Amino acid sequence: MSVQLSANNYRTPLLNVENLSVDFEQNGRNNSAAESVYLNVHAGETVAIVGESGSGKSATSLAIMGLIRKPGVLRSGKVKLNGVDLLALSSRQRRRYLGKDISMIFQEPTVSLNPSFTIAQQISEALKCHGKMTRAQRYSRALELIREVGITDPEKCLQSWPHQLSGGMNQRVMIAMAISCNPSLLIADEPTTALDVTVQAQILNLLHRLQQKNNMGMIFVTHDLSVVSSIAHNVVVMYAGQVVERCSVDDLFQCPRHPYTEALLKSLPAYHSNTNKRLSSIKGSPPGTVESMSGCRFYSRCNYAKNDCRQSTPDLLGEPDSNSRAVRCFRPLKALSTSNDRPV
Amino acid sequence: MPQLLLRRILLVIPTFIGIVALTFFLIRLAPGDPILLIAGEHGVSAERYAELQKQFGFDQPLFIQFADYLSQVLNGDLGLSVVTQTPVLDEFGKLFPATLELALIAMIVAIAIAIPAGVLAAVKRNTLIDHSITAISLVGYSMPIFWWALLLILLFSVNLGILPVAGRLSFIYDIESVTGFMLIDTLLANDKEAFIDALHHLTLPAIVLATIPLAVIMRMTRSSMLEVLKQDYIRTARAKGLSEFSVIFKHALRNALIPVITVIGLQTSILMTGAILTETIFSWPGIGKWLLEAVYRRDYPVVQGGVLLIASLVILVNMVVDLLYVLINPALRQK
Amino acid sequence: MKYMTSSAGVPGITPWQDTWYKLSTNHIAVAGLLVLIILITGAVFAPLIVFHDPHEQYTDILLAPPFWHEDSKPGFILGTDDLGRDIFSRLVYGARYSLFLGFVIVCLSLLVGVAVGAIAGMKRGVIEAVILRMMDIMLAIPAILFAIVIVAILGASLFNAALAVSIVLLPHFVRITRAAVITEMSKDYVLASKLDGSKGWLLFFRVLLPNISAPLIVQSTLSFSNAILDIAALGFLGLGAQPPTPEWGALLSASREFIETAPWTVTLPGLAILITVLASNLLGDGLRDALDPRIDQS
Repeated sequence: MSVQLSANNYRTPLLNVENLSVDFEQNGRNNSAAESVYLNVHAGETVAIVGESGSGKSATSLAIMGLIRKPGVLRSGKVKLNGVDLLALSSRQRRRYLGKDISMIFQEPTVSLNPSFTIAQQISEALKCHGKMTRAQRYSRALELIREVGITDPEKCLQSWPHQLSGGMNQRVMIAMAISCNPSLLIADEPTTALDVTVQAQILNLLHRLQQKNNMGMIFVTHDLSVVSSIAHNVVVMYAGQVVERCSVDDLFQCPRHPYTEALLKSLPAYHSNTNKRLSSIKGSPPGTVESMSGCRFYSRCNYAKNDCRQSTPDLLGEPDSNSRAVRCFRPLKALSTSNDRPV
Repeated sequence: MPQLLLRRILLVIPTFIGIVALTFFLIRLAPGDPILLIAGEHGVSAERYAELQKQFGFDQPLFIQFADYLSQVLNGDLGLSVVTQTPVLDEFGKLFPATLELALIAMIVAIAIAIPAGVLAAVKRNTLIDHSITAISLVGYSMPIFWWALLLILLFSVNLGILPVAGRLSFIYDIESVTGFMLIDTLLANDKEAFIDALHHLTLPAIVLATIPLAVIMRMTRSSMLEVLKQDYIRTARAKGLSEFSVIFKHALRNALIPVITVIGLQTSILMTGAILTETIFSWPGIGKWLLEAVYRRDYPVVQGGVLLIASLVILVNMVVDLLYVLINPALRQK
Repeated sequence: MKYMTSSAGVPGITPWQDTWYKLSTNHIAVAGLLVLIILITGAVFAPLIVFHDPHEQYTDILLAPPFWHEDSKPGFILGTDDLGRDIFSRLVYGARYSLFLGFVIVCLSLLVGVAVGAIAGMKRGVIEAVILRMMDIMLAIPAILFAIVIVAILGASLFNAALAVSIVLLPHFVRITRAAVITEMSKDYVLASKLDGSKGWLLFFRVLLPNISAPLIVQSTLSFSNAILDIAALGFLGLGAQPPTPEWGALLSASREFIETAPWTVTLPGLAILITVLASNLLGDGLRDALDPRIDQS
């Protein structure tokens, strides 16, 4: 994996996100939702964005699609897809890429589908929007897509309304819709969170298979580290709007370097499968607003915090324009420690 | 769904019987002798009194009287007007097209302005446009329309002298009544001038009658659109790369209209209330003016029959709207 | 959002204080409330405000225009009507009728409506079905028509008009109370009170009423504006207040024939109605926003 990672560094990435910042305006104040995010995705690669709710992972993925709506505001950033900066385009020009070259699936499949249109209508709409197909061609393509995402009895499904299908079925439909124009990049925003555990695995497998088959780049947004291990190549960990660590999936599990990443791992049940230790949780909660904060944002919850952590803000150390390892900490962890007594 | 339809239709029956009962007891609730009331203010001789008593069945027990009345109503017999001695149903039938024409035009105007304006306000939320539309809607909703009518008369008829104040058509035109709709009849008579004259006569009453439905529908469309625009499927539609026009008018409006249609249906009752005031002020020869005059003249059979017919109309329209609501709402349709 | 300043859930703050806080941040609703307070004060202290008796006829000053007009007469700031009565005095006294009647009508309708609605919601079954059907019937007859018919039977007078309007407003209160009672009855705290021995009207007043008061307050405010409009409409049609009572609708009706010669006799009473109705609708909207937990913290 690490070999592939270094090889990737010499290729032009499919998606290159630079200095992306999103604010939310509330009562005349700006609250930062995502701050100066750098991100690269190559063709055939899955990058997971991991973090708690409110960490800015959804804001980042919506900003890549240009879908930030009020009270959200895009402050800065470049989103280059095959070299074209999507955010510099007019919304009319950008729409030609949305749903075609880059598409997205969401957390709540059932409410992400329009209740007033049948599945067939909603899938064929995406096809109609980006291509010149006849009605019959669109229908047969929709049928093909529905089969592709593993729905038995595709005809019946196409005639159905979203409320008649289960959450898992609806997510399959969303995926079919998203891949309808063979996008080079798929953003999946917590696609399995709202689903039953058994269905989760099916959807993950489906996404993985489609990605392999179409050599898609994928951004997989999740709060669930156990999902990450099975699908991602590289991982970006976000906390309170900032990227705190960036690494390959193997490095993430073998030697996390940011204390927050480590804490996340420790709260995983599987991580402790060999021991009888109690699951640990991260004390406290993420800061609601980061406006007036100085110092490291994880300071108050960090087990290793020192005085200087409060006084000045750590930078994301590493090469900001690549997917190589980077960590935002004054004293990154050297090796995995299972206890709190670690050398400084 | 057929069950739902059937249930809704069956529910109308007791309501209808209730309305018949209400109009039946109406006259009997009034203080004084019902026969004297029905006979009007001129009074009657003793023989005529007995004759009327027999004719109306007042010598029978109340229950029998009601059963008779109900069967009469179901046979389409609503009695005779005391003043004109013509059947109430005939008078209603003659005057109803005038009211219907006015109400339909008013409703079309209201919907045609209110829905786009409501959508615009929602899309441009918290801008000057939104605030203006919301303000107009609030004022319209609070408007005493009888005063609003007088203001419009003051401006357009008294000061500017461009629109007539009364009636449906100037006396110089003689148009044969075919459909009862003046706009259609003048066109059928191929009289362009008369058509324009009829349109002029219709303008002010239609504006007045449209005011409250306009305000209500605008407000409802705005809030319903705001609700829908927050939904996840709107984000999905945008993520597909659809144009903003498509997102708003196809994906959002389709869902936002579901509650708006219910509100439009509820306007029937408000339109009839408005028609009474509007027709009285503009001397519009419709059922609103007819009913009010019947009240002034104590023409009880007309009041009784008129109320019954209007109420039946309202429950009929409400039923149709309910069914429509089910039809346009896929989640309900499937059940 | 969780970091928004909101007093909700802060210990020591009652729901009413919370509502008041939310209402006070809604400038439009506060404006409506202020206008209503000014109108009520004006109506109560009418004799101290006006210079003339509303019924006194200054026969030498007929149809004098208001103060912004160059022909206006000093002392008659809003002019006089066709009988030489001071319009300002008549409008201020007219506020007494509109506001007082509106209040009485809403109270009457509220009392009866809540009682009937509570019976429907707590008893269910046949009683509920019959009550609901009756309300459907009442709603099927357009409001003004229903009021006109009631007035036609009882005779045209301000009292009868008020009675008619309160009957017309009744179904809304019944429906809202019933729906709210049914919702609340299924909640655990009601069950707990029942197990505690509360039942019947005691249960209703002690336990349910405080929890269903929000929609009733909103409906009362909105009904207040409807009542004022309906009373004015009936007055305008000659079925409510009778001349020379200075009720606003009756004033409008009486001055209709002077629309060409003295338009202010028409515009001013209508403006008074519009301002009053608008103010109470603004307040009603504000209350709805403040009391409706559904759109809380949006």
